[in-house]
Amino acid sequence: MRLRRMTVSEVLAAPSIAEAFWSRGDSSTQDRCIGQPTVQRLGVALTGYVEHLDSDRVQMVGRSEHGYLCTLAPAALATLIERLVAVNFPAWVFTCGLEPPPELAAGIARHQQALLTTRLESPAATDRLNEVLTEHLTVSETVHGVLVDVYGVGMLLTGKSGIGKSEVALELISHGHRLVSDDVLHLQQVRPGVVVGHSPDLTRHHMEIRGLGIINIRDLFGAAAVRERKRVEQVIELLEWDPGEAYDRLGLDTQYLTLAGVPVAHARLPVRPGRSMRLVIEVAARNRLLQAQGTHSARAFADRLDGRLRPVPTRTDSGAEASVAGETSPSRRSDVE
Amino acid sequence: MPGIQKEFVITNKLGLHARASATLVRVATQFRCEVTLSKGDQSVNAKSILGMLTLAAAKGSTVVLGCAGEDQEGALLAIGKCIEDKFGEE
Repeated sequence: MRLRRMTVSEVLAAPSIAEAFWSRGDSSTQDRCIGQPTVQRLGVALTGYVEHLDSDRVQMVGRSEHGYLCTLAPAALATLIERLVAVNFPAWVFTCGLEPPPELAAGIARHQQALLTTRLESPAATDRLNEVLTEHLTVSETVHGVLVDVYGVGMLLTGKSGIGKSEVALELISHGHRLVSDDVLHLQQVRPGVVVGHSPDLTRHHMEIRGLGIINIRDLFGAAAVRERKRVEQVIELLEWDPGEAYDRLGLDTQYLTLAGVPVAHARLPVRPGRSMRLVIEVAARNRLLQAQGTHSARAFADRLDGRLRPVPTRTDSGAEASVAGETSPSRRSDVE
Repeated sequence: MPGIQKEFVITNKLGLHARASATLVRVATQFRCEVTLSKGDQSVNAKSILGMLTLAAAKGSTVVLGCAGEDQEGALLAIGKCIEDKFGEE
């Protein structure tokens, strides 16, 4: 797991940035380091309130900020510029091909901050910069496992080599689920609480099946059998069946595992011949969906049981008796229906 | 991670290509301990073919072999020998 910093020159080297942005400052300013994965806009700071501007974040100046700066009287402009550049941003970006006011350009140069310009409109420029910065600046980690999209739930299968992760994943894929990555998975915290997995370029769409070797899932099963990236929502750890081990029998408490700084639900599934792991994993995914929609089967069951265990009031009227009688044999009745 | 580590230089002509990776994985899977191979800040499970291939270690690159588990000494020795023998190639 690592937290990084990114220099302005590294940002400019990214293809999507290189084709649309250019640097106007001194080349030494490109050594400045950016520490946050999103750009910031001046907004209220234009009134002189610079308290919440971050000194490790790229500042973007679009039409409205630029227009406002141009309305200021020279003295007010000079004061404002002095306050802004003193925050010591690593870089400024002027969008829409806007020309920075000369006083501001001078202030930026004086404080050795990078100055970039783009012809892109602000929203497009923000998207491109945020994408490149997020890629490099968020918490990332590489893990060993297979990530499969099962009914839209990102299920990460882990376990010792040889336990059969790839075989289970292959069975899931043959039943219409989608492979994200086999064996080596890059994980990234794209925003707080959300971890997304993707495959290394070299092994994308490939799997290794013992006895068959390396196979290409997209070629074999088609474009719908793969996807580029997927949020990881559940970790399924496959284990050799051990009679002495205490596996979760209730599902009341969720265990968590931290992946790229994000806690992810973690279930341990024992593998045994004759146990369809594909089916168990599909049901685990359905259960996640159900929980996301507000129904927790295990808790609902436990609540019903608790209801039964509560002492029955001694004095009951006929209406209450009827409802108690109705509750005692619901399963048999539904079987008949 | 506890365990033992040793540095190796990939000396065979083709580097850690597919067949060489398979040879190394075959040796690694004979042991019970966890085996990792690292290049720079990238570390992969040496019992995984796809993992080894993502390392893309060319001739001359330095890799660190790490073994952790009950039979770590034997594993380090055997896998190390496999790398030093250029995976039975030139």
